[in-house]
Amino acid sequence: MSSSFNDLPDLGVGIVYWPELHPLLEHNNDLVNVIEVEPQAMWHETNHHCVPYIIDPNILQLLQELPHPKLIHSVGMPIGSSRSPVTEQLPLLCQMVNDLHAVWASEHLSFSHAASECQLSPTGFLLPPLQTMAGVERAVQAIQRIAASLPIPFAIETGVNYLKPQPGELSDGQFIATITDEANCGILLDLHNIWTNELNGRQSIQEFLSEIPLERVVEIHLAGGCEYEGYWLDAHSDLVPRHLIEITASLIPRLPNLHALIFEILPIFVSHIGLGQVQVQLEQLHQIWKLRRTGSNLMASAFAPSLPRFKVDQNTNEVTPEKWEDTLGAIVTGQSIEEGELFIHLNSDPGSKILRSLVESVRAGMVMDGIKLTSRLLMLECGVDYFQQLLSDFWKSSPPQMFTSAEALNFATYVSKLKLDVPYLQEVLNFEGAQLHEVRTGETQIVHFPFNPVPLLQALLSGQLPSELMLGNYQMEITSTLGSQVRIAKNQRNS
Amino acid sequence: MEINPIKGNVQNTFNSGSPIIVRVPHEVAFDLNKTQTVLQNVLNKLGCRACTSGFDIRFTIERDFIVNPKTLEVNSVQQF
Repeated sequence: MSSSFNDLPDLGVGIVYWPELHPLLEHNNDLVNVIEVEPQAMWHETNHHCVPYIIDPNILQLLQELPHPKLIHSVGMPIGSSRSPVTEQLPLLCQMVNDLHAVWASEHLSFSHAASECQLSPTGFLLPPLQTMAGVERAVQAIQRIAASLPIPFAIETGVNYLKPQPGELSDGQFIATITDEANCGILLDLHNIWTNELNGRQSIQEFLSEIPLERVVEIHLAGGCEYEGYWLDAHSDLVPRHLIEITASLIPRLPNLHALIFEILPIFVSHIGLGQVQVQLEQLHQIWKLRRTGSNLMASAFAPSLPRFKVDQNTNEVTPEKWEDTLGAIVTGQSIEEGELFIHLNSDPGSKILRSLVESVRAGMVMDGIKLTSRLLMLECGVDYFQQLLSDFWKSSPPQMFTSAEALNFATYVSKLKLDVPYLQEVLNFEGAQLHEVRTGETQIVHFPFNPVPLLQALLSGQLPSELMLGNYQMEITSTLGSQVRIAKNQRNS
Repeated sequence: MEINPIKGNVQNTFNSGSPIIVRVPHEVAFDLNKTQTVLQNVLNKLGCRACTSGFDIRFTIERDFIVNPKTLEVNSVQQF
């Protein structure tokens, strides 16, 4: 695995692919050299144990038809966990690697699950692992397990961490260096993450760079962020800050095995930034990509297992990775846990409050995307404050889910059980719940309406309540969401 | 049994009592297609969250949209 990094092609400047950025691929063949795909963001969760995840074949075909080289950037199997990674995702991940002829794959040095009341549940957010030698050991095991399953080289992304540095832990740079040396894997250097960490009081970017094995850096991520409650967030919401561009430009000549420079922006912000500005950003990245040095003399030391770079006292931090994950997970998701010393310590860290807000924002966002019309109906009928309270109550009763469909279905079930006196609520819940069930099961769903549902759905899609609905016994047949066919029928006997 | 709701005629093509397909006027059919397109766009967003550690503004957008449906714009990160 490791030696194959030495034979990788120089891919150039690229983007994380979203349909909103597609026009950039059509107008200028040289603007985007490589496309990075975040697979799980395009998957659907199913109810089938044998095939737990599927991808829309239309999306897969669209990606396959793009002539650009592809990279796989996994977002669902972080390797910073004390528990085994979510390996049921591996088969589809490997399939996408093969279908897209991906050049290499990467994953985050984070954890995404925690145990609460004897159950392992998602945390709803990628969270920072415990940076001790025990944490190193767990990460190396996870990397080796995933890397052994993949037919292409594997790299880990340097993560963001909103918490204060912990007593007795490795520095951010030492942690990455020790893991990647022991696992003999590549580094996806997310410079915006490292810069974010510095701005929020962790290790400086220069000190971090002085500690990591630069020859292992195969890819750079750049992005923009925003300020929130006194913290800088890795929000992928803007262009790359000028200072970070300067840092990148000075670093690139020092990276002998850099093969790709990727700009990340979330699709929801593309219209706000404007495609023209994204194009200017990519042109700027092409300029700094030219600063890269190449030459076989620089490759000589690449990817050879190395001796430990840092002397670490393994007894300076007695917290286990499992306890760290369960405690931090419970704090940021609002689940109950024994309030011991670590809980008190982490709970007093202002970064925990930030993480909790971010988790809640993600959960609210998932509900918005999963059952948008139900959410609009509730906000229109009951008010925004009432709806927010509903969400808050729901979060206390149910842990987060990794997939939007599961989170939205859980909220739909929660709301349905409340039997709220809101006109059309049950019908809209039934409709959106049926859509989600159809996606998860592939089975045709029938939804009954005592009125013509089209004006109701159209009104809610416009952000308004319906004025008048024609009564009758209607039903909607929802078939194959991958083709998204909805057929309306009206029962003769009761019409 | 199929019904044309515009003309009110009934065609006996199915057994009595079975669901009958409503053949909707062109305008309504167009609206239904439009509705389906929007709903399908929603259903294409049911996977994992993308790689980011930022504030998720989807609720903020929806909240603002409810207040003023004509301005479905990304404004700024606001506290939930």
